[in-house]
Amino acid sequence: MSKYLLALVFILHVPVSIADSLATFPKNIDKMLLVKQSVIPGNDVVLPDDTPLFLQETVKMYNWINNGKGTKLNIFVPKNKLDEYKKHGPYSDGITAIAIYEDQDIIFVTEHIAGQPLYGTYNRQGKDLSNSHPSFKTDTCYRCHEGYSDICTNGTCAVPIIDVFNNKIKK
Amino acid sequence: MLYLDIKRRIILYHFLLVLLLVGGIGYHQYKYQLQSHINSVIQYHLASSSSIVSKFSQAISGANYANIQMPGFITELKRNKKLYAMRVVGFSGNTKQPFKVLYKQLAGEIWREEYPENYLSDIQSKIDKLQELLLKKNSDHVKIVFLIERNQEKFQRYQKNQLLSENNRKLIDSFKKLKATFIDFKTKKLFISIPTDNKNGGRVQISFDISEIENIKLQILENILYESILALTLSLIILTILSMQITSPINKLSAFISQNHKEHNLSDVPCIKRKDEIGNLAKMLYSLLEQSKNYENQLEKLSRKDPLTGLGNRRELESVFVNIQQTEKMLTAIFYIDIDNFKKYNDCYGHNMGDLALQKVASSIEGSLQRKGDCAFRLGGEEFVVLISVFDIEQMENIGERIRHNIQNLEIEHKLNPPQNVVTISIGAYFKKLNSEKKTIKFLVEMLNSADQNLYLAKKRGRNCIITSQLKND
Repeated sequence: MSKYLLALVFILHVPVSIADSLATFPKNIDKMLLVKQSVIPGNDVVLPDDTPLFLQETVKMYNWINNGKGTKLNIFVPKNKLDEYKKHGPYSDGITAIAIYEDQDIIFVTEHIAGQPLYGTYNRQGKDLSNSHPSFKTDTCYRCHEGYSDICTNGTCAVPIIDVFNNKIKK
Repeated sequence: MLYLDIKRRIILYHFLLVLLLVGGIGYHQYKYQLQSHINSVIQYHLASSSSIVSKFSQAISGANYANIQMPGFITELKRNKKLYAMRVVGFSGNTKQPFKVLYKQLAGEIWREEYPENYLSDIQSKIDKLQELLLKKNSDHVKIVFLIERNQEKFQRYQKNQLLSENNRKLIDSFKKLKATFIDFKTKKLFISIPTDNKNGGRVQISFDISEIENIKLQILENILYESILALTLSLIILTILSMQITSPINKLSAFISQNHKEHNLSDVPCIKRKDEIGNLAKMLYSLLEQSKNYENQLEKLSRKDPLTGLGNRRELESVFVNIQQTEKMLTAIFYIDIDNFKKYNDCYGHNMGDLALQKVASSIEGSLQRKGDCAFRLGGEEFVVLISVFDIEQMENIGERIRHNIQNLEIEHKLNPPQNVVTISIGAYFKKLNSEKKTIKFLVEMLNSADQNLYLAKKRGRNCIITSQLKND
């Protein structure tokens, strides 16, 4: 049986380094629950000294957004995954969460299959943006979320960016 | 045993001293320069490692193995040709996961050294689950195959990393033993250990290839050797000059001293004008020779004097005779004087009185000679000789008569010398015109014999008189 499965994998082979978004664009964003609000600071913001290195990496990667002015970041979770999200998984199959850069209408989608994350980047209209910027690439998503395994559990991050900026932003 | 003169000894001992000093300084220089170079190398590598440490600090903090395995970072590491190997250990910032990676320049890879115990079974379980999903209808094959491949890739990477760790067990062990910065001269590797910046600590341990240290060692040794040879050569030249300056005047003094003592001319003492120790030595030698000459002169004088009467003795007579100075017209005259019946005087008055009488007679004879160049001598016992220069026989006889008269007038009692009953003398006189050829001891003896014959005649004629004659063959 496993031989057949491996053959199937071979037939359906796609390179591990993938170009397009893997997570499906969600059709029911309006029905999702807003669970967190945060910001991506502009490129003129100096981060506090004790900012976790993962967040420094995130800010470094995305502070070009909105012409370097930064953006509000809202995180939405489908109702049926709210409890799983609170516990950081394990996640059931389907869309798990979306993060929206509100000021530029960019939507990062996290989906799970068999407990493993898939990522994608879209605009409001569902157009795949993963190839429009290196920081939107699916590889980049994996590198960051899997790489920082200390913070990212089951493919979602444990530390919201906004916590870091509570009364600490130096300008 | 090998004997060395002072000059060679000065050179040898000082050269050995210089050799010791140069050797000591050279060794110290070598150690100092090598240590300075090593310190510079350490500082250089510490500075060049700061960006690596920063990168790994971030990686440890997030337990992020992906970032440090990026091709760009590995290329950056490969660019550092001196980097031999590296091991990074630490604990992540949030969950304190252990983080351990290794890098080896020859392998050109960074790999994870340790995995959680159930890492492999977890991956296998995920693959199995995904394969089950793949068989279901309406499953998204693209997504599932992607995930299966990702897990297979993780599986393969795990096996590869385990193999790399196994093959580099010695390297890992050497890093595990590393507590502080040190150099392994055997393998020519520098090991440094730098703490990371992340919250829960860690260390970046790096091994650098410092095989160039051998060339540096040789270069330092070569430089020190050249400097030492130069210093020794200069020292040898200076020592030779110095030793010559010391020994040359000593040799001159030695050569001077080794001359015959009588040939010593005090004005020729070498180095006497020097103001150093050699000059002092020369001055002391001068003083010693001067004293010696004085003692010699005194001894010479004493050896020509009669200790009882203070008159010259026979040796003085001979010396004066051979050096006598007189004009062509003058005659040399000799009085051979003998105290009359002096044996009886001694018998009658004792030897002490006899000695006293001799002193008085000698003093009277000397007192009777008023001209410069007239000399009196005691030949022994009661015999005296007077050497004078005269113009004619009459002058000679007058002087002889005056001597005889003065002694009689001393009125030294002598009961056994009738009819005067005082001490009297008899004189055998002889005179001769001398030229330079006749101023010899031999001729003096002839003159003395002639005078002695006249003395004999004077004794025979009744004593207390003077008999004069000239050499018969003259």
